[in-house]
Amino acid sequence: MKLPWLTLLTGVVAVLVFVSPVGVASGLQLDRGAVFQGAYWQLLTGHLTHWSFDHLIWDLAMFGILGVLVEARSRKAWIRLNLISALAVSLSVIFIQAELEFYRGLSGLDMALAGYWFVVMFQDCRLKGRSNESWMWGAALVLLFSKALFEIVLGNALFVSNLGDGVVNVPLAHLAGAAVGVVFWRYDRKGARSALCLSRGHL
Amino acid sequence: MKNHPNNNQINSSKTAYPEGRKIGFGIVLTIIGLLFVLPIHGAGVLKPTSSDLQSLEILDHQVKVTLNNGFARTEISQTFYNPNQQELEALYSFPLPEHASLSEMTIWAGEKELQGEVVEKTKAEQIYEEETANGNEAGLAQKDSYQRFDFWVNPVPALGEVRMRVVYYQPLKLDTGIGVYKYPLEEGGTDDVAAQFWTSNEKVTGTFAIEVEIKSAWPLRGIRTPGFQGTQSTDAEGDLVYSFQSNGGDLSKDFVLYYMLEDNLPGRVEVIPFRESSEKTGTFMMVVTPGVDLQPLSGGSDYVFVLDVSGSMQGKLHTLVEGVKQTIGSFRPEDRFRIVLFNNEARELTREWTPATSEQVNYALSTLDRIQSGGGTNLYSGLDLALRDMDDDRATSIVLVTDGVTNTGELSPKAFAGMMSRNDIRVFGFLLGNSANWPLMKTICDSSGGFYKSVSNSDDIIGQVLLAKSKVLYESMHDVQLSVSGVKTFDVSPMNYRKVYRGQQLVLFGRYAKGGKAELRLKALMTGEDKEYITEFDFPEIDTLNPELERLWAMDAIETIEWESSVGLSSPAESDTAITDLALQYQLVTDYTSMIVLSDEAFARHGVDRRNKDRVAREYKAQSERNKAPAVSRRVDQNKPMFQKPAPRIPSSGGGGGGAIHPFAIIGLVLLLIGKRFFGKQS
Repeated sequence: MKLPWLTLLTGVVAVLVFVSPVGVASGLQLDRGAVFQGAYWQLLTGHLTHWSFDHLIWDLAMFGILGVLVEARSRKAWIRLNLISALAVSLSVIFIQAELEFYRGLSGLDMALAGYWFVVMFQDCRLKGRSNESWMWGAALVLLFSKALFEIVLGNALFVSNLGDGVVNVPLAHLAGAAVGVVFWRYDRKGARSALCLSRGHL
Repeated sequence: MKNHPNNNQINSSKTAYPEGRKIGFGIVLTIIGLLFVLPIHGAGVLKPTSSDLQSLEILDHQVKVTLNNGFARTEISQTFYNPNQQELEALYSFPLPEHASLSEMTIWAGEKELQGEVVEKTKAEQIYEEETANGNEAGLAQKDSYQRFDFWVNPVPALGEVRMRVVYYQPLKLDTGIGVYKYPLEEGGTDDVAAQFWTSNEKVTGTFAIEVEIKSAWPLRGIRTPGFQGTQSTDAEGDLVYSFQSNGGDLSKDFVLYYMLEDNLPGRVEVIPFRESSEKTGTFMMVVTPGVDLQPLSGGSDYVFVLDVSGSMQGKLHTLVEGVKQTIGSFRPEDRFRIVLFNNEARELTREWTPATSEQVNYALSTLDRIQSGGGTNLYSGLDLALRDMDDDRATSIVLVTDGVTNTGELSPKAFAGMMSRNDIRVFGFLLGNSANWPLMKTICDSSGGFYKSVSNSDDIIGQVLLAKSKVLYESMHDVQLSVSGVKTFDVSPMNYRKVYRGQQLVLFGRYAKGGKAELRLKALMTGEDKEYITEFDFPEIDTLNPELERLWAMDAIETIEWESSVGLSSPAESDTAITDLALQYQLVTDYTSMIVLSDEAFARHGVDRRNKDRVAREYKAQSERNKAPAVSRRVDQNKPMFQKPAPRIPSSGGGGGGAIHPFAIIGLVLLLIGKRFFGKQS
């Protein structure tokens, strides 16, 4: 298995940002006003900032597991998926949840990785004839979207850490991330095909 | 002053302009302005609607703001140009910033620099008339109640320029870690008489620039300036500097800057002192940021929305309705609401207390969409109707939204205060736009134990209403009492509060006799229990870094006197005298005092003491020292913290957000991977 250095590097950066002086996270977080004044890098860097240690550790745990899996499968897909989902989640927060001044957290990317990975697994197993396993991944995918949609309806996130007094959870980021993961799989056929061929070669 | 727009002699002044300026320069006509149709839209150079002359031009308009921990200094510089073949008098007017103390007006006419001194209003008008009639350069700054500042400059030479600088100070207050600075420019449309008499030139032909330096001892999380695309940088002292500049512009839109402090800052006490020498009385500004554990309230609450639908609300009504819709839309099913509309009289949109079920909310929202604005503003009848049919068993709040001046029915602040004190109901007021009657709103809200917010049209009314609602959903501190012992303090702002809400700061001004160790005690009732918070700190024997505090203290004292007079706690004669004395001693422009701007010789000729010159020199010296150094923390309770909890962070709306993952989600993912392995082995 190749070293998932992109996932590791992202994780290290997120930790460094967290332990840096407060001004660092302030300059990197997604600040709606600052983005409109030209701080476009925050569309990407905002995901590397976190509100609390709990927020960081669980976001990072999920990112670590899924990131390693996706990166091991295709590093190019990892890069494209994370860039696209970072932009999509940030833009959806800015334009749809306009009352939020600031946004932090990797979880939108986590959801994109999860959506992508579940659908890839579902499709792989279906083509390999592993119907039981494909049902498992299909169910996981349905649960992922059900959770995200239910969170939107409920107005809060399910099974999430408390971000602290005064900071709200943003279910929209989860839904946007999961949707990007699936749509990315649909259009990133090249990566999917090569992965599929590789899997068949093992059979 | 006979040509003042709000003067009773407005009609006669229309013909008096050419006649009143015969001497010296020949014909000195009054006031210039421009092209705009009624009503006045923003800050600008005014001229009578009847004048055929070209408007004076504003060549440049530069605003430099320093937010220095507890207060803001705003310096406005602008140059007038007279495109006519004859000399003219300029009148520049802009909406009065709340709690502002005007400290300086300086005019550069050719080589001459003219400075301002505050004297009694009638005396200032008399001197100005006399000097301009004799062909001498002069300026005059006046405050028009709560509505605006007017600046008169005479003459602006034919085809020539005059430069003017104005400086004012304001206290700053944070709410849940967020500060708002507003430079008001948009005309509030609350002065119908002036609007019929004047047209305004709001155009800046050259540079329009705003620079804000934020000297905060606490780390900033970010700033926001809706509608202004400026740049941010950090200066040599590490302070954040926001800059906006454009070639040309117009002065019809407020500049609003939000700045947000970092999270997890401590509950704290900050004291900014000023004491020039051991012989003199000291002045202080105290800011208490409670760090207490106020829990969310359970159970339903009742809300009455009292909404101004008078004619002046046209154009703002849609925003208002959206704000109310969003607020009602976020209610819990156990909440109830009523909606009262008022213009010349009040009427109820809902017939009785309406449960906030989705069906009822949808019905109310569809009804709100059909509201039309028109008529006068009878605020008293609106509140009177709102206070009927209260349920003593439920917590009830009134959300009052209006844009201006109550002009029909009961107008006396005393009557409003009486009405509020007879009912145990909190009023949360929102004043839309500038030049609104904030003293009356403050009286209503303070008397009820609520609070009010001024909301610029460039501001986010929806966010502000939701922010206020979020406060109401938390416990508050009741019967809050502050006291200082160990050091003799006096002439302090009111130290008792009926309620202090989550995220609110307590800002007090006062005086102290001499330096020494003081004990500050805060007593409050929380969740039915008496709580006490104590700290100790030193009042310094000498501290000369913030001389502006004397003006801020005096302005605060004047506002307290005005309030006492308006609710009948003191006689008008007593308050007029007290205000005039304070204003003269501390050189403040009030309803009873004005700033006259003359040459040194003219001041000597009129026997006017140069108190303001000395005061301004002292302030400039201190500002120069402060500018050389990073912001100084004024926290005084670090050795013995008054509060053990951090200051509250922003609630959901308008604040921060993030996606988050729960450990359960990780467990789920691990189970999936185990399942994959299991199925893999099977196959």
